[in-house]
Amino acid sequence: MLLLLFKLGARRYALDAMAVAQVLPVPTLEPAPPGPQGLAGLLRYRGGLVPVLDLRQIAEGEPCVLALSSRVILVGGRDGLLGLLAEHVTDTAHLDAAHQLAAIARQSGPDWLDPTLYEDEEGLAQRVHWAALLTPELRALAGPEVDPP
Amino acid sequence: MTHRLALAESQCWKRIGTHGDRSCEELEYCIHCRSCPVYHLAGRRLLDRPIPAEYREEWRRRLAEIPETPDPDSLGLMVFRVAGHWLALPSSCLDATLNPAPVRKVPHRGHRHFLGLVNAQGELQLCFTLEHLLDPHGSETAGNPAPTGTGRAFPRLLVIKVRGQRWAFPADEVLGIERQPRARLQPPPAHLRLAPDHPVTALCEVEGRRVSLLDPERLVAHFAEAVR
Repeated sequence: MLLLLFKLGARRYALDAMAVAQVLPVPTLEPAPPGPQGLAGLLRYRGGLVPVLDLRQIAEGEPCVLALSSRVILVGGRDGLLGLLAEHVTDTAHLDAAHQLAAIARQSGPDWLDPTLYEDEEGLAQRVHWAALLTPELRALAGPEVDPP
Repeated sequence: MTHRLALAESQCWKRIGTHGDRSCEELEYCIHCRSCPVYHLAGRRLLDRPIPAEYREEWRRRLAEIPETPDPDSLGLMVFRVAGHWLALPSSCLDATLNPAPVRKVPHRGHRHFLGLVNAQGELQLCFTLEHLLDPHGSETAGNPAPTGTGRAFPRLLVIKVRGQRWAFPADEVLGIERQPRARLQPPPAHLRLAPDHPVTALCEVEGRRVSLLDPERLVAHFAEAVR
């Protein structure tokens, strides 16, 4: 299985690449309505609106540092798209390659994080369950249905 | 990791790598610095630079655009020229567009429309000419621009695949694949309509050129006839 790797602050995370519709440069976002935690704004995308969550805001309580390697990862499909703002979105890894990303430990945490940790030569990474982040509240913010690319 | 980072910061490829004195031990495994993880890391670090002004605004405009959806009722046509005539085949039957290759005549298989055998990507293919199928009093006189209008026409060997079988023929120039709405196809001239197995089934206009659309099945029937 292919994983998209990224960072939030010093920690590394991974997303199942099958869920990723597109990795976008960070555009100017429409201002977010107050309310949902970590909502960075709304992305105008192909005639619709897609809510964008700042993952670092959710994980660590401070916003992502914006560099050229920061990206909006579009996830989801027909039931709704969600943008995830993350840092250092520059690499992928194969989970089934034996020497890479071997599962080593279990810990509990928020429901959008997989309790299993993976390790490769650059350190530990934790998988993100994006579906737990797309709350009905966020889904309601999105405009008319947009076909994923 | 930190060791690699320090190496990347010091631009080791200029000192001990392939751009330097080649004394790095890793070169034994990497062969060239561009295969080395340190070099990759240095490349990734270029993306750690701050976002330039205007970058985010430009991407906001670009992502907000609604992409054009292709007309589902249009045909993809591969447009090419043989002598002074522009012809087209449905792009779905196109197998390859290759550089011209020498055609080898086949002994005792002389037919004026069968040119011989040609090496197409390592496979021998039968090679034909389309010139006899061109309408002698047709499109050439209909105000088509000069065949080499841009002065940059490259002959090509086209390979088509019909019912699993590949056939090759030379073209003097290939325009590329064009989309045409079906509604803009015109019926062929009357004297062609009277010949039911003639491969020209319709006419259309592409960038001011009058193009004759060929039916691949009928074209291949003509080819098969020539080698029977």
